[in-house]
Amino acid sequence: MLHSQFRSSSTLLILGLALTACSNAPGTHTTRPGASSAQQDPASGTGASTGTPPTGTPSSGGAPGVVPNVSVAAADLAKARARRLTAQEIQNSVRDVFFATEPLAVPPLVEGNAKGFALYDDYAVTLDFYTALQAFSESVSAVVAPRLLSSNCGSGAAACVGDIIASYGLRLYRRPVTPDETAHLTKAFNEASAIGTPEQALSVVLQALLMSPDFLYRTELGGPRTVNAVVALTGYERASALSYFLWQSAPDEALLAAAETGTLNNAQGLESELGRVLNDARAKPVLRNFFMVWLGIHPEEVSKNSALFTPALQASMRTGAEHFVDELLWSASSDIKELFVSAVPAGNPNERAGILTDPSFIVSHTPSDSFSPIHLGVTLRRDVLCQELPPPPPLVPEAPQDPNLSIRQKFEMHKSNSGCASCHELIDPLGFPFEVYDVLGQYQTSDRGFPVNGAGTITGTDVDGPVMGAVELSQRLSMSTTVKSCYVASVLQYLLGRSVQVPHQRTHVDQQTIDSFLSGSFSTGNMLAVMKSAMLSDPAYLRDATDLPL
Amino acid sequence: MLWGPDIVGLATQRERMTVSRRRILQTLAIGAGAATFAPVLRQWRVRDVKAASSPPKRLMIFFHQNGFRDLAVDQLPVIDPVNFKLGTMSSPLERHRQDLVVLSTLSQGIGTSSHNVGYNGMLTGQPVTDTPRKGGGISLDRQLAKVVGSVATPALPNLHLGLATITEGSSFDENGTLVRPNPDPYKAYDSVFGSLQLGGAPAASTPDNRSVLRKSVLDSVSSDLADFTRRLGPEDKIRADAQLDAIRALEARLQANVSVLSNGACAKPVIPGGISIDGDNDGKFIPLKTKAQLDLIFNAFSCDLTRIATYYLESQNNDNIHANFDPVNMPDANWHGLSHAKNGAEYDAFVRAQNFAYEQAAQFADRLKATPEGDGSMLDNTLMLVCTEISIAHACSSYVWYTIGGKNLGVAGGRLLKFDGASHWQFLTSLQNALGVPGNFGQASGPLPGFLA
Repeated sequence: MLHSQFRSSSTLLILGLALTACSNAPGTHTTRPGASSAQQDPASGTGASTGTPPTGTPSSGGAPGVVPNVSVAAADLAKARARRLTAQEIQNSVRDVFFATEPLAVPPLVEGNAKGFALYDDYAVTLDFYTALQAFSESVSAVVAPRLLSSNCGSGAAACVGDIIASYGLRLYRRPVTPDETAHLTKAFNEASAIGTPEQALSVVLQALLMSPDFLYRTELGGPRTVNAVVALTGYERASALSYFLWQSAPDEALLAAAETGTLNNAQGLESELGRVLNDARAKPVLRNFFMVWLGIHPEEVSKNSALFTPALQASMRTGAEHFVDELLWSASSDIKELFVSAVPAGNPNERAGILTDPSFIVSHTPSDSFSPIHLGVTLRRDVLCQELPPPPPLVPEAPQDPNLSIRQKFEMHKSNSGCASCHELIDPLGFPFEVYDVLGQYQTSDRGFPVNGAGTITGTDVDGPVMGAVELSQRLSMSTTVKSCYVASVLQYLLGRSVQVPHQRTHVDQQTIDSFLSGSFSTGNMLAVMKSAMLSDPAYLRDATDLPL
Repeated sequence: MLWGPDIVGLATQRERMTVSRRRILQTLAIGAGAATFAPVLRQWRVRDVKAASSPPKRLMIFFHQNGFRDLAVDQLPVIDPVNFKLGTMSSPLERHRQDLVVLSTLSQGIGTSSHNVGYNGMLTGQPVTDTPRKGGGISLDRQLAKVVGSVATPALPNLHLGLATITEGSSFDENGTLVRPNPDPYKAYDSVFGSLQLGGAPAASTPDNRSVLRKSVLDSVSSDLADFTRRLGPEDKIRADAQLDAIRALEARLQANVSVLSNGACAKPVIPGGISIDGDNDGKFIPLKTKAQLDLIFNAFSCDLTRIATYYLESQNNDNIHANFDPVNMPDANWHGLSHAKNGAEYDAFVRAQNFAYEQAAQFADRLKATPEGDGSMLDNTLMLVCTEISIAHACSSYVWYTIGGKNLGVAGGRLLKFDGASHWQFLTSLQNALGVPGNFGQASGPLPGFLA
């Protein structure tokens, strides 16, 4: 609550008063005063801020920077960083800024990256990426520049370039363009005008905007800092945080206006914009994608050694999973239990219940030719329970080749080898309940002639015990606080672009936020409420500025 | 401001702070008289280097995954300093025996061995963990790209290609963040050879102002980047430096016009159409794609467009490499899975898969050997490292790696060197030294005894 009352002062005197008020406030953790729980009551902020005037300097992102009214230690927060947009985010931003009324008809910007959440340390501006971006920027500009010239520049390019820099700069940099930046862009325009056509000159300006670090990087450097070197994201940074989390795209004009007026610096204003952004049609595919990435569901990208596994089947698996997630996430209860127990389109409730039993999930986590409990077990342990697995030992013995052994018998041998057992007792018993499905996700009672029963065991959770088959496993997991905690951690990771799933990589405030969600906004299991609360939580807005230049 | 290494110590603290570590390394690497104003420096160096008569010195790192079969004695080299014998898997290297050095047994010198540790540490000179895709600081190829490549061939400091959009790898930036190879031979062709004019004469004077316009774009972006970088913390400053490098490379490309060729072999490669970019998911493309990508590296070398290259013969998620080799009997083979086979058809299949990998390395060396350069061949001026992330007994403490060529870099061939667990950091140091960069790499204590003359 306290930390959402961002004050408009940057003076030490008022900051001092604010900190005093903070430390005396009821409900505040005495040892970690900043880790209060506005996410449980985001509307309770006073909204006292009227916003300080924009400084117009890049150091504050051009936004109304405010000193956060918290006394949390910087070491308990993540460092203030800049996050490179993904190729998808770049394309979506260009689409929304330039192609609102027509299709984005240019060759796509493609970048190969590991599957999984986009973590900022995985994205750099390499020469290959930058070369591709140059080509993309030139393609976009070749389409957009002539259009702008004819629609916005009645008196010629020189007369309108200033407006174009200001208006499209604001959209692409997601904050007002500074005078220095305007000068760089104007210089480029003038140079190009001297040797090229007006279209080429405008095109150069657009390319320079699209290749600028101010477009490519979403800064989360914050505004003025507390005495503890803690900063809060500026209004403009918040606008970007909202829109890239929920749209994977640039803020719209309304969000930028809310940033400019300081509306995003108070809880009510923030929550109001959050509601609007969430209700926009763009949020649905993005949040759906969260579930696909979280659970590693990508049937369209795997291959199987079966003629039955056609592109049409793969596509229908993907569509089925997406539909299932959409229905649950946006239902009134948005209950995480249902994610694990609801009927799935593919079948009989005795054979299937919940997303983990859906063929889309199973085919994504089984090898191409025969069932193995390993991938499924690792996925559950790591991504659904957010538990770390110890590193594999130096000597990995070979899998037995004996055709007279069932797959279970082969993997049971892990138990008898102490080198294997340390890992595989955490992996295999979670994967074996899925042996009742083949590698195409079809239900089976025998595998290559060996009967299967799906006997497995859950360990290391609050719902431990033996289970028989993936349906019972899912039912049990649906009751688990470990799973709920992992869901919150995964949402935070998706939002923040840094590792939160792995417990030891969480900040202190991350952990407090997860814990407070479990007893607060997530106590009913509402998955959509977690998305909202995450966006209003401390980890979303507060940063450690210790390493930033003053 | 001009200052060489001899006066670095006299620079004020403030001056030092304004120059990134990368710049200092560049300055140190190329000797006195270097300016801190990189574009000027680099353009000057380009002319300087191109005009030099001695052939360029190059490093090619050829990686293949899954290493040795566990405890397969018949795959280990027979240890003898001169009369060594290669295992059947690596037998394609036999034909380069006179240029070959067998390095047995190098170690990462850490307690844990795993594929991740192997990937993370293979080219980095610092301790690593089992965390996927997290290196121990900058890898040797990236370091050499910065201190050698960005000076000698600024338009293309290094060429980093691979079969797949892999999930693992061994090239890391200063943050230890994985740098992925380019899996698309068509895009690589465009960026390396697309604007290249061959034949010595400039292109006809067609009115094309594109280069000038692009220069204006890059100037504006450079100015923004300088402002932007000032606001960042240390980790992000390093990342922003990468963008500056990319800008400089694109600027250098604007002037790219190869009129002085390092040898007569410079030509644009021909990349056949129809290669699936995601081709490692379909084994039949693997040989074609591998050849196309190795052609790109060979031609980039022969045109002296780059001097540092890495090739990752690695299949996405470790699957599918084998489909090409035995589609009838082994349609569903998994490269990693096969690597654990003890005997029988899967074992034979694994040997064939690794044979394929070594054969590609050998063929690359064939081409270098067949191309005259200076007083010898391109192979004399190119040091090839053939390496893998995991080795005997699934360990990172028993690497058997190979080098081919590099005579003019100080490497004599026809030898087997047995190290009994010497740190591979020392080997990385020797490679760095061979490329003309003095000092230790990472946390190495010195070069590998006996490797360089």
